[in-house]
Amino acid sequence: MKKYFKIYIRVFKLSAMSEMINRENFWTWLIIHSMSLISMIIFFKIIYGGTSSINGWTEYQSLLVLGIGSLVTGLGSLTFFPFMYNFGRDIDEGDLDMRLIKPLDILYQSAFNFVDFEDFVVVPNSLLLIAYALWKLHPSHLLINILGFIPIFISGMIILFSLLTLIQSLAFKLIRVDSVASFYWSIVNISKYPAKAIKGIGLIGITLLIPIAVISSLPAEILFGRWDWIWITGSIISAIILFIFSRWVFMSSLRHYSSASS
Amino acid sequence: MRKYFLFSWISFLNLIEYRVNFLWEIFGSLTNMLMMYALWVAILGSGFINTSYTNTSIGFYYLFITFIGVISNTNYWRLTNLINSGNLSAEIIRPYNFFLKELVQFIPHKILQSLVFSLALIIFFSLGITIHFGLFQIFLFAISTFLTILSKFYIALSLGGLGFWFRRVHGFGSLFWNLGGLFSGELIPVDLLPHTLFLISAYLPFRSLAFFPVQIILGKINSSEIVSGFAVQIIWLAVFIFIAKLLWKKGLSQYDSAGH
Repeated sequence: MKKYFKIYIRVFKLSAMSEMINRENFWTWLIIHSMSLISMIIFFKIIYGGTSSINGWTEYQSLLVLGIGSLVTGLGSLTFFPFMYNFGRDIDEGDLDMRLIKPLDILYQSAFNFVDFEDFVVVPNSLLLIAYALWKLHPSHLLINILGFIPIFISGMIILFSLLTLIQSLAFKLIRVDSVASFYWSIVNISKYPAKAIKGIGLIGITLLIPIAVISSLPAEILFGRWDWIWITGSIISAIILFIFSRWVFMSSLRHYSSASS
Repeated sequence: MRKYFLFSWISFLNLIEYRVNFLWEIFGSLTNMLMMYALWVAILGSGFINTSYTNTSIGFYYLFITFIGVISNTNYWRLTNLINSGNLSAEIIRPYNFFLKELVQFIPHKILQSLVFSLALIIFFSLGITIHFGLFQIFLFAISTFLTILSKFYIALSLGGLGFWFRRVHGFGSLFWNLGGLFSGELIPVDLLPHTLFLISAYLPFRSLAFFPVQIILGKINSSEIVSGFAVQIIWLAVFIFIAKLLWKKGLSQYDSAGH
């Protein structure tokens, strides 16, 4: 475990150095992410200008979901989101050979091969928004809520990682899966809306088809003090099962890989 | 003309070969659209005031806005990669118009996307969610969508052309489209924006790139607004063509590449 952590730190530093070669790009992204978050805040301000709550979800509860959804984006980009970009190409060009001969876990190498440093600013931005929303909501027992929030947030990240692993396992069969990135980003962006505020068919659809949509709503609920034990238990169990299953699928799919290089 | 048809045909075969990739792309857009629709149904159900939208009209609004977004989306990274890799040299010395080749290559993609969204429209109608629009409205919508596709193509050429000066340009692209998200109606219908933002949107191109065509098909604007809307679309298209041509002229004049 320590070895993998050290490797991640090294990859993080190398990605940061690489990003700083094109500083104008980094600063541009800083403006983009800030503007993007402001756009979403304006969206919620307009919505809550016309109604006091959406099925029981108030403005600051929704902003908390937005903050947590953005935090998922930021931390995902700094960890495993790069898995979605070049994996198909690596298989297509036979570049996976080099990884397979290294004495490291192949799934780890595929998922954590670089850090998308462009999205670094999303993390402080989203933390600021979360702090602002919490300040406005001033929930009781905040410390206990934070302690409960951390494992549920991690469960959400594991679910996201497992889904990406499942999708990318298809690359061994289908080779070109570049559009997975746009599909996956759609899923990640959905997590910025209060999915649990959607009742009826919408919620059933999301619960059955896109469970990932609640990765931010559930942690937000815990953070402002609404502990929904059925959802909490479901989230943790789903994370464990999905992680084991997706890893098994990935490793099984790896058997279909035959080098295409040279 | 035959060579351009062949470019288009090759692009179509490529699309069919990697059809699952195409489906992922469509599925991503539809997922987003359904989420926005479900959220808006919840918002309207919570007694949202100051809007003329109903559950049905907001559903169609997001269906058409997604359609416009998907069908007019043009990949500008490929152009930057061509510039940065030096492979552009091989393209510009060949006996065809490079810009036209790039444009025709997208046609099969656009046709297939239109078919998928027509299917979504049929599903809406079969579920009893209907909206009335006449043939002339469809005709105007088609023209407006075509102007949007052309505008976004020239925007993509401009953004991709920044590769003559910068190694990574997707930041500029995202900056442009993020700003556009709020003013184009993709995030929220423009007529629901606060008055100041609504006024600002009138001076930016984004509104005419998505909100205007959707307003036509939803029948929410009168004939004089349609005429002025088309005039604005054409003016912006001319601006984008001018910028793209200028950028590529300047870029190519200083471009050199080492071959393989």
